[in-house]
Amino acid sequence: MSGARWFGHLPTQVELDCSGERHWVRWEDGRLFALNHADAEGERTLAAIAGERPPCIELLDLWARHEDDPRVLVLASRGPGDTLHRQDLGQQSGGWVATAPAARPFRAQIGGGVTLASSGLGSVLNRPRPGIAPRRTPLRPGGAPMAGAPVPLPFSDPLLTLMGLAGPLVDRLVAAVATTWAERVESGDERTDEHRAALAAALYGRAALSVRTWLGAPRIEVSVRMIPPHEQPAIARNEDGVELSLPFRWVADVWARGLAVLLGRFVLSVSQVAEDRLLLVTSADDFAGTSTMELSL
Amino acid sequence: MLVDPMPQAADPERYLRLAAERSLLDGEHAGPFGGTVVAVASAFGALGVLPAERARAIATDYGLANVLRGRGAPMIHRPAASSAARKLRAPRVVPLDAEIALAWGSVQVHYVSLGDDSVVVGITAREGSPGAMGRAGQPPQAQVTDDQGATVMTHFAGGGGPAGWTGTLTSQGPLSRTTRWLEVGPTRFELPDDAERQLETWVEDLAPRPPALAYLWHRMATSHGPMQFHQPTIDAVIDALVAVGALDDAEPDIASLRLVASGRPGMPGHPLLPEPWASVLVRPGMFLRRGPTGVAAIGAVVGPVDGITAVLEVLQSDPEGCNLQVVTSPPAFPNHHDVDAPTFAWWAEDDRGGVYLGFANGWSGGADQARGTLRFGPLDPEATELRIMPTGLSQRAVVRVPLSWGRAR
Repeated sequence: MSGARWFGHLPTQVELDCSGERHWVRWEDGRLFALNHADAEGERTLAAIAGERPPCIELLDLWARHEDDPRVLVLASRGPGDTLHRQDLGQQSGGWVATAPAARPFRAQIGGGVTLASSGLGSVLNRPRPGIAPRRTPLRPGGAPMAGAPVPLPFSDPLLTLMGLAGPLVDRLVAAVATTWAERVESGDERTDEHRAALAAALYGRAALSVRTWLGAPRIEVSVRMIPPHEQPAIARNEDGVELSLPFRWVADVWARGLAVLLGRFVLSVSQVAEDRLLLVTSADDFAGTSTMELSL
Repeated sequence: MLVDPMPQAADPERYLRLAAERSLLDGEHAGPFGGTVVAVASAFGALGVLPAERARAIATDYGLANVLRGRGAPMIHRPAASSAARKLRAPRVVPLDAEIALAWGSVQVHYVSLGDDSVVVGITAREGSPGAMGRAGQPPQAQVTDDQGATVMTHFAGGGGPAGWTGTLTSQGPLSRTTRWLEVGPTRFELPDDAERQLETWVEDLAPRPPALAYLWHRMATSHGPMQFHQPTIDAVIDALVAVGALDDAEPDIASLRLVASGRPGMPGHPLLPEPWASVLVRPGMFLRRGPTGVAAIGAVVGPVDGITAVLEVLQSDPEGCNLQVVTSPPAFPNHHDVDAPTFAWWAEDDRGGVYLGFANGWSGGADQARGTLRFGPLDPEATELRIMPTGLSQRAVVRVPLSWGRAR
């Protein structure tokens, strides 16, 4: 989508237990800030000497390492109806348990003043479990198991720790990953070659769940063709189910903004036509062609 | 049949990932063996359709995704490094038939196996009092001593209930292989100075088959429990291999595979049921037969078979079936399918036309070897020889075991 990269993604912040104090980490316009650590770089240097980093700084560093990690798209929710059980992760992953304020809605005004509020994606809030104190945990991958011995999945995977964060923050991480890879696809970045299958799968999962939710048909067959950025998105119904042709950017521009289905219509693309206005190309469930919808803040 | 959700999805990685997405959206509970995703990833990795490490990474990530959705997670094995194989030596196995009293109950000793790393005593036990075998929260133990004065502590592993327990007492360290006697608890057993057993063994190549078919039949033989051949993931694996061009969908074996995998093989003589599956699945009287009772000492090393060496230690038969104690190196865990870790199908044939397929019934392992028990159905009491065949993808070993049963209970 042309226009501001993070348009429609409201700032959000989470509270952490950081060395026994309640600190805040804030996401805004694509960046993560440790609000209680004015000199993050300086603290990293001190931590390297002391051998221990504050959890806020650990979170910033972990975030930075996975901001373009396609695995985020594998683990994260595909949308409403695909709920992650985050409350189990605090114990399994050994990471933080963080709280967040109620997700602030993205409000859109359409036409004659109708206001929509979307809480975005995966609105599960992560709260500390009673009796389990959040703790500082240096992040390390699990130790190597014996060769040949059956091993359980790596619950110490740092990515699980990120998945355990409050819902809105994970949503921003997913948006960051999707946006980064959408831009790489469009620029012909050679890194996309290695991850093309993963991107196609990420697109399929989110588009398929969106269509099924839209039509109220949880078992309908959905086929998704990932098209080049310059091709026109399309949707059609046939005897087998629904066929979609979408660019990967649909994940970043449409799905990650919670715009996949709006006013009973499936949204194929979004473009920003003015500083505070979006133009959506949509389809009704009669599949009789597309129409546009304009949103303004 | 899996409907390809994306046109032209012949790319193996794309196919696997899309199958995983469908599995995730459909809410498939993978179970301990991983379900569709692990099955397809294993097949792709084993057949070289996808680099094994890539296939494993994808299966692992989607396993994590399932965990995040509260659907449990499959066990993902690490591959056994080829350098982790160790040279195996057959243990000294001595059939016995004696009853002793231990602190936790009366014990019938069926055999002892003296290996390089451990002592194994095959037993059947009855608790001296209810719950005696589970007291102190640990398995029952027994001290074993050899004629050199060395002593090891053995721990029980097995199953059973108030009517009796069957299993083994196993130590962490060895005793003298040439000891003339052993003391198990308070009781001394004289061990006969038997000449080293020489059984006929060999390794042979299997008849060539398309790799995908060889893999699928091998998977059928290594993915089941007792009388449970239903393999819901086989259909998905067949569809996947056809889709990526690794299997010709006109291959006649496909219908037979689907039939066997359905768990409803039909009656003897079904046209789609090939041997040896027909003999294993629909043998007349198979549910009525009661096997003989006794112990056959084997003590044979075979292989390598497809890179795996195995020691067959002892066969212990009872009316409900028979147990085969084995060691493999590198470790070949049966009934589990990592992406590229080899495993054996444990076939056996007797001299009366009977065919048997063993399943894992207790397995443990480490970096360079695995030890476990294979369970077969009841043996034919009239059989005088059993050919045990640990079978890989391209080779199998054959061990001819006379069935004289040593000293019967």
